[in-house]
Amino acid sequence: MVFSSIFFLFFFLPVVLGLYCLVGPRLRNFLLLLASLLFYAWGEGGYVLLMLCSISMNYIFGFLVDPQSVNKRRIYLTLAVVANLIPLIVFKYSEFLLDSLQVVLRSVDIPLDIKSPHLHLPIGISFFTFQALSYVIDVYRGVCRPQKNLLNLGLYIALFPQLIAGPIVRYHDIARQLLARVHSLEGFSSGCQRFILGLGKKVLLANPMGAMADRIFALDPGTLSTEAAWIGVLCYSLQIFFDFSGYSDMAIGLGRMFGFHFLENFNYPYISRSIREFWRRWHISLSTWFRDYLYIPLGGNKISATRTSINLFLVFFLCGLWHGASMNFIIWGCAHGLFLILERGSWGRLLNRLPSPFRHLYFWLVLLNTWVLFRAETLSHSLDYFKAMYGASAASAINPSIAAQLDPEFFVVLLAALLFSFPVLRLFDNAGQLYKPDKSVAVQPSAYLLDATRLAFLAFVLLVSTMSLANGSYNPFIYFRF
Amino acid sequence: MNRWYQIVLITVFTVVLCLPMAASFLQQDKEISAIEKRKLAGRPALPHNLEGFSTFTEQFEKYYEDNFGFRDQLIAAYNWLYLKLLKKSPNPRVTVGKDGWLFFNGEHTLDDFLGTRPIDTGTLEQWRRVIIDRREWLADIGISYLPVIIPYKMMIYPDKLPQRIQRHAGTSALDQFMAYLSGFGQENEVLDLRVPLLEAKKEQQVFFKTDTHWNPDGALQAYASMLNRIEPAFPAVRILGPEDMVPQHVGHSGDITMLLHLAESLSEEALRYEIVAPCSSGYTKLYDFIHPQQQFAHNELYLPQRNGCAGRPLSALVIHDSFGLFLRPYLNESFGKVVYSNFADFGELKELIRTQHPDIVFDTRVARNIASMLKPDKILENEVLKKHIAGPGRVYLQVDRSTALQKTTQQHQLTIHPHAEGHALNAHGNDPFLDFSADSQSEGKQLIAEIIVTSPDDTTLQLFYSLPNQQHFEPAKIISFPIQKGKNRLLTRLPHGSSGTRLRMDPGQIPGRYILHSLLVKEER
Repeated sequence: MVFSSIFFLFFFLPVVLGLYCLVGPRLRNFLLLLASLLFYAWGEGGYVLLMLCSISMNYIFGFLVDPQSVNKRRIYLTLAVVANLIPLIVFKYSEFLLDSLQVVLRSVDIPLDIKSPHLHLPIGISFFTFQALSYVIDVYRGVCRPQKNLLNLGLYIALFPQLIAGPIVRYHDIARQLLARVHSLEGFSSGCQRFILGLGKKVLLANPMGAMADRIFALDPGTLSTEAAWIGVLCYSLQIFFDFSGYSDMAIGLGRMFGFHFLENFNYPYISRSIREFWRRWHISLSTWFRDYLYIPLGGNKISATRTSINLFLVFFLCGLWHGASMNFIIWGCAHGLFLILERGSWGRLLNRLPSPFRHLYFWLVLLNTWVLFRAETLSHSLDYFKAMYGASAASAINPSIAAQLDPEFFVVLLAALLFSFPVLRLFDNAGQLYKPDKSVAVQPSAYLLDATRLAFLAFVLLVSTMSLANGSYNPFIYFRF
Repeated sequence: MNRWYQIVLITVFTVVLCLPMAASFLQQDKEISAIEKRKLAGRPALPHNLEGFSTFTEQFEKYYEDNFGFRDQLIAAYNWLYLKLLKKSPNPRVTVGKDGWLFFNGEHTLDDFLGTRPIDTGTLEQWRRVIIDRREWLADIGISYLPVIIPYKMMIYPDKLPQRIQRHAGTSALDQFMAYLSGFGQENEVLDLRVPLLEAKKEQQVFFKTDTHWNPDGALQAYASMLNRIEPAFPAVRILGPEDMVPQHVGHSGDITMLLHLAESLSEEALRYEIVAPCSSGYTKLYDFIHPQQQFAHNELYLPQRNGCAGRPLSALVIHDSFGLFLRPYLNESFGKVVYSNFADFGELKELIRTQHPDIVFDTRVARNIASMLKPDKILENEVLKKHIAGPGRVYLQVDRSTALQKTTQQHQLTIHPHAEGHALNAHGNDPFLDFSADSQSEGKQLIAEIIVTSPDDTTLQLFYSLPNQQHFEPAKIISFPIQKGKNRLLTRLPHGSSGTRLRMDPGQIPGRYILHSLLVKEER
């Protein structure tokens, strides 16, 4: 079940919201937990047991690593980390690790014939594993007390708004809200607004960009013209941003509807002028998680420059691996790590002296090229795609099937996507604050006009998004099919 | 935010989310969608166990997507908005053209028009042989054959397409096929309806604007072209003229408008021709026909139908798709008996053709489906090849009991022993083969091969061939034959221009004792 689906929008969410409003405060957490488990089980079936195990296990570990508890906390912490990572490694990485091992052994003439287990990857496992780890580590560090109420811990780990695609919520950011949170008209309406904007980003911007990106990446790169290749990666860059940030917006919006305040996960990353800045704006919950739980414990930047560089490289190697079990993701992560290292040195100093447009250009070049690694199916596909981007493919003209799709609507959506990747929506958010009441003026239509405009815009986005989703369910045939 | 803003926003949000759900509880579920031409997903039963739960969730989502409240209204509104504001179709299977013209992109039509799916020579040759074989097979039982390829709308009205598509028009599969046939001087084997329709287009509209199909004027033009083509062989055929019909103006909502859920708001004026004093008897279903495909075997919808005018001397069998429905009213008046089949291919209708024994078979299909129209039929091909292998034609390779196979071939994983009926091949591995050298003068000739082999068990026999300028066999140059335990007679054409150097035969993929009774490669005439 995804947020941008008919079933979620027109069934699950209204039912859960309705019940949430009807039950008393004492039952709200229980209801939310039940809804969250149902949400997960709806798509993953029996794998909800994995989540229940994670909740139970981390509940116990919370007490074992508590600073106020007995000795051997470090051992229990190690056990907790291992126990949390084992399912992630098994489900997400076992096939990749076995395949890689076989490749390595075959290269030294040691044949190893083990069939890779094709295990189902439970959705959201990367997210809820990291959340659970942050709980245990925060308790160990004394940042927060262990949660005595199993239901509340379960709710923290399983809460459906951020379960499948983040943001990764730190326990200490939400601990108080689990016990008591404020429900207000302002909070709920703010949640509605955020959810609508996220839905619009996903349905009206990400999906069309994704359709073009998919079409281009599906072609043999050897047949791609240079312009088609660049259009493809540009569309993908916009797709991944609006998909991810849209989903985060919906998660944050849903959280607010239920009284939770999640931290921001994206801060207009595409206005960055360096990779360093990018990672302060992109998937903030993940980058700060790695910073706080890996980079800083390894020494951060408080040690020698060489060690700092190694730490950065390691963190981003793991960051790449976290995104997916393939060489492409690892190389993507390492590439970002490399640029981060370079920007810490003389290259970074030179970059800072350049005019802004050049810095933006540098950033976009690095971004687009590394997104190719992220999107391509395999390493060889990436390399062939790069060839197309830089004019080394056999194609001399844009592919007719791509050219046929470059209609005015595509360009309108592309321009809208580029526009909204800039902080245009911040203006929207703050619009009401731009005009302060001026008591000396008898008529003050500006604030109301602005609010009305915002309302109209939101209503438009909501309606068109829902109509688009409804249209997605329309599956007509030219000939009768029964 | 102002309070009123908050209240209005929450209200709008809640109403938009809750109304469809509320409406879905109040309305009755629909079983069939006439607009979508499919069965809608039904409400699944509640699961009784955990295993049934995951099936239930998937089915329930599908059910809800097909049945939520205001679904049709939301879809229609979305399509209307898209079409009116953006002049574009939200359905990727539809292209909005100029002047209200709508085009169907589905079934790879746009790809074909843009020429992004080139057909390899082997496939073109296969299509050519299919037509030749069908013609020969029918001629042997005294029936004429006319394959008719119907252009899709983009081929006739490219000028109504958006400029960005017109600019990139390429070589379609039909273009390639007609060019290939021309190379053999066989372009008249097929009736390409592009020519008459492009000519007729100068005077009148021949396709609907909002439908994938030709309009009655286009169908009439096609009908006239078909009968004019057969008239030299069948001078008695009755071709309807303008005096035989009366035009009537009717409104028409095309099938493409249904893809946009806008059938009620998009329609066009069209002419329909009423036959003056029709003599056709009405449709009769042929209940004794059993469709070879099990899924259609007991469904009346897929039965052939018969019509015709008593007193007309000729009979026809028409294999057609939805375009053929527009031809029926005219063909009914031209033939004494005309049998229609619009849910089966030629290969599936051989028995029907034999029993109905028409004077002519019209095999019609829209150009985007040319591959399915010219699907090879192994049984028919074998019947033709049996005749050809027995006919005149220079022999380029012959193996029988008297051949010194040991000396004339290279062997791999098998040993050769004399046998009363040929040669015993004892295969002791999973990749046994015999390597032959064919007469090099066979280069460029169309060759057919016959292999008679006894197999120890069910397996696959493979024939490798190399092209004249190649020394080695490529994995792609293989003809595979599934063979059964016992004696097998295999017939095949060798791909055109393929031979001249070497042939390799893998009698099977299992060890055991094979008996090669004979192998014959000769020129096909």
